[in-house]
Amino acid sequence: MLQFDHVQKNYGSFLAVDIPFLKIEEGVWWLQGENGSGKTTFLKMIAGLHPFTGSIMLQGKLNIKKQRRQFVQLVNYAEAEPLYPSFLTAKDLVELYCETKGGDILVAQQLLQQLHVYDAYNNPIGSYSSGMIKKVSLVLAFIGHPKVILLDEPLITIDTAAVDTICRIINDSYKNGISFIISSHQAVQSEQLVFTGKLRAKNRSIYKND
Amino acid sequence: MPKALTILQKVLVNYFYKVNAGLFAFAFFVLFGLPYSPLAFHYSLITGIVQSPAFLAIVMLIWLLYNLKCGDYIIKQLQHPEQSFLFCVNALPGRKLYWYNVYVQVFVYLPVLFYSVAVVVIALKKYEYVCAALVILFNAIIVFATPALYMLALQQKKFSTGRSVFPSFRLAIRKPYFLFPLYFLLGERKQMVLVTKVFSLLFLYAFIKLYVPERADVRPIQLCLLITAASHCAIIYEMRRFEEKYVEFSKNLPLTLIGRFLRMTALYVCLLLPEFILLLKGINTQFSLVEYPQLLLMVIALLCMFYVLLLLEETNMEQLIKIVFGIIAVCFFIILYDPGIIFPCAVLVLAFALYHAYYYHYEKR
Repeated sequence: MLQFDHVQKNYGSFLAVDIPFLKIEEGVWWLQGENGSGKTTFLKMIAGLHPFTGSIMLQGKLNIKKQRRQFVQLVNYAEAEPLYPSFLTAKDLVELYCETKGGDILVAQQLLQQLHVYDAYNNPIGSYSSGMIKKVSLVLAFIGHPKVILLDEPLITIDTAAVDTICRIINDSYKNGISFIISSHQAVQSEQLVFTGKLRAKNRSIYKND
Repeated sequence: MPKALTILQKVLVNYFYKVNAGLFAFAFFVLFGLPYSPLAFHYSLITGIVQSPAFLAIVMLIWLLYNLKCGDYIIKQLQHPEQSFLFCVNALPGRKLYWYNVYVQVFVYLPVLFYSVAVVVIALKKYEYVCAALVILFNAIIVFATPALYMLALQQKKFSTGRSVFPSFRLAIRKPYFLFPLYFLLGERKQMVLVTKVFSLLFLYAFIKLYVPERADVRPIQLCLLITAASHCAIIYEMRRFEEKYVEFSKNLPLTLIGRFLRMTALYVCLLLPEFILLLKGINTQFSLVEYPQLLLMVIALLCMFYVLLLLEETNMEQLIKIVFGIIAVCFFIILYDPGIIFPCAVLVLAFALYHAYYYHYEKR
């Protein structure tokens, strides 16, 4: 699914992430690591938000640097602490994502309903609580026809009912062929999510933790 | 200095100047960066203020607007959940707390106070005692009355609806992606847009009205448009900061680079629409109709170039202004040779080449 070759990420002269080689197969992967171990940087590199050296390939044919548009069409990302312009509504964001990622607005609206934020669909984000913004960002990550969804701390900020709903949506999506890389400090119960494997962020690199 | 005063200074005063650095840099550029002697310019300006009651009234209105901005900012800060710890200063004696707030007011209002001192000195020198008294009275009311509002805010009393003193623009129609920065400007940077647009349009209007050449020559209006473009650099800077903070997610959207660049040029067309309409007044007197598109393209290309400068590396407002001055100086000499449409096209191509090379490589440190 994803292949990393000589991927390095520097912040100035500080080497933050160094991945000589890594291959991640399809599945639901749990990305673990201490604070500052490079989990968010790793996810942002895959999502195209952070520049880096080396190459990241999707499905053995799409290189993020050479086929960027096709690559990000298939890779969606939800931030740990999402920020959106306060004057936009959830409707504005959903329509933007559907237009660019090619998704169905009705599906997005159903997801918002399941997470109990649809009532505020036409309200500006500035009037949302942090939990509501988080839910909107999670719904945006499911819009379109992604092959991989990257979720950075998806279970923080939201209520317990929403945690169950998100886990169910992840399980359903996986059955439909979507893979996940999920970073989470929280212990996830096995009945909520079944992980294919674990990825460990440690010593400035990312390893498979078999 | 008492600890409570130090905290108020850090939280309210220092942060005020930090978040408004762009506005102050722009104001400094407008007031002191123009290519003539700043001292002579301000002496004539202040002489005009002290000798004309109408001019004095306009200046006081500007000062009042600035104070509204200061007051709006301080009150929002005091009511912000992050500053709720400041509630503890209410335990201080009322009179002491009032004087602490006067201290805060004096410091955020300091630029106006400095200018007011110059106005009073020149007014006294010219025996305009009424003007001097009015300026002193006006500023005294502002300095001593505004802190009363801060006291109410500190006590978490809801004396206002929490809305800004300026009207908000909220339209029910769908917001196009390329206009997000414009929505931000109209919502969060109204004063900056107002100051820039008033300056830019007045400058352009005065030039077209006062300068009537014997035969149309596009170069003088092009030089005038260089100033118009430069006056927008603070706006470009603010839009870029907004993008970095709130629209970072858009890099994950499958849009082509050329598409992103074209959206940016469309944004600048909307931003410059008032100037473009006003420019129509100069057709036939200043330039021919055929040269009109060339003028529009030049301003758009320059704004694109200013934006791209912010992608090359993390640049603060001060550095940007220096670079913009350099670019304007170079453009000034090129325009004198009348390069025609080639010049704006070349600037636009260069801007796109840099955008292509740096857009995805830029990263906020």
